[in-house]
Amino acid sequence: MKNTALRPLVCRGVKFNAPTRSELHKMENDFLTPLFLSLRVAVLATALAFIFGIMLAWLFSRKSFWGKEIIETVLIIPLVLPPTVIGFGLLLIIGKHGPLGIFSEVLFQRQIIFTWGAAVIAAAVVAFPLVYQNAKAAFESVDANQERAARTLGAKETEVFFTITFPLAWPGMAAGLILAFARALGEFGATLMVAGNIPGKTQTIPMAIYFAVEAGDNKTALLLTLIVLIFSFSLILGLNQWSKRKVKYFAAKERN
Amino acid sequence: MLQASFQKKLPEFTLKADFSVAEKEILVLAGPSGSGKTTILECLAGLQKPEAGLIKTNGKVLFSAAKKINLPPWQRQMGYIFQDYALFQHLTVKENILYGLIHGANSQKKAERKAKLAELLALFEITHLQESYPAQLSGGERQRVALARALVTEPAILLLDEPLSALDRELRVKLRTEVKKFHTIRQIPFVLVTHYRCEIELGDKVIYARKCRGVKFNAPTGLNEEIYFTEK
Repeated sequence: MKNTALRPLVCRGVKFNAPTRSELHKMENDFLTPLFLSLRVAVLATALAFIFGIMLAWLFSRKSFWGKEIIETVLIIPLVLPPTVIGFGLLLIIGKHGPLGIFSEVLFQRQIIFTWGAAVIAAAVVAFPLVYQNAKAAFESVDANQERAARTLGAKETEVFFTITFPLAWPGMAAGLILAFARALGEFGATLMVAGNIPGKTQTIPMAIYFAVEAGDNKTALLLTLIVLIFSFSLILGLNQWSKRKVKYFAAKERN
Repeated sequence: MLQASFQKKLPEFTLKADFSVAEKEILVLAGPSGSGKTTILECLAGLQKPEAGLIKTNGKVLFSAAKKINLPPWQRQMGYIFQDYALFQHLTVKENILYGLIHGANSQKKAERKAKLAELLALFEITHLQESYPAQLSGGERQRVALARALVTEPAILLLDEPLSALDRELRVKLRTEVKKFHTIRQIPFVLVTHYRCEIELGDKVIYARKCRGVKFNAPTGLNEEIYFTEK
């Protein structure tokens, strides 16, 4: 008698703990693949935006030349443009008939659009202004006398940059980096236009959420939303704590 | 021994400098603010480039307009005390002082670095502060760290830009004696620029800014004027 009483419970437990192979497969397709794709795209896009953003920010904060304001405006404008405009602009450049599209077709026999590489490019373009603006402000606020002191102590220009300028500018740049990563992770409009919504290939989390809602699959959408929320929350919390520890010397109370 | 004779055009006037400093001498360049004192130090250190002239230390040419020589700051062996001290705010006192021994032209082995650090920390009585960040130091402490940092590379000459101006009066008197004391220990030429009487008194030799040869000035400068810092 005891056995039969326990039976339904065991059954339910088994059913819950060990989903069937097809269920596992569905979970992977619905959640893990978009999550990892999103992370890969966002990390690479942020890295690209970071490298170019910092190089240009440093250059533009130190040198002035004719047409600088115009180039700067072009670099920052993705911040205020509708994502569809950026998407269409990118299509003109990296699309089948765009200069970079043709270049890639001839050189690698491959298209750029509708690949996850295109998603990286789209995310990098929208993330770039955030890195650039914060890095430029950070470089401009670095005390020039500290750089000059390093020079009189025997440091060459590259050493001055890596030992003085960069570390002093870092707290300001870190803020831009967090924003850029968040923006890249959430990129939707431009990505949809250049990379499309190909499950397992270019379907990032924001795509998966949109198309799940459109298909009436609110459960999947809710779970994906929760994943993004938890991830973003811990990322920003963690980076803020880390950055706070790093900048204690700026916060140290002055006494004279 | 430092010999300098150069010209530098500034937006408001042309600066003309012509002086020499002997071993063991403190030269004071005195003049009101805006008379180009800091520019002179920056030209000596290689942070700015004069249009014409010659700068030599111990027979080594640092700048020569005629021969088109202009050594970068890291090759000049000039210690520089900035007016605001310009301590590296992201580094501790210890890391600040060691900077000149780790990076660039003067890098040294670890054991030597350690000995030098200990010596300077003791000399300037800042051993207890070595793990602090500049923001946690008082004005007088900052100045001593700046001196230790500049002297660690054993520069041929020490340049000081109003070194006491950031301090209150009491400290100024005390640190003035200290600067003098460190000068007697190091025995290298000091070039100090200032408009404070108490700093002027430090000099073995004092050169005042003049608007025309022979005439001292105290009014602000105007366009197309020349300011002289010359011995003659």
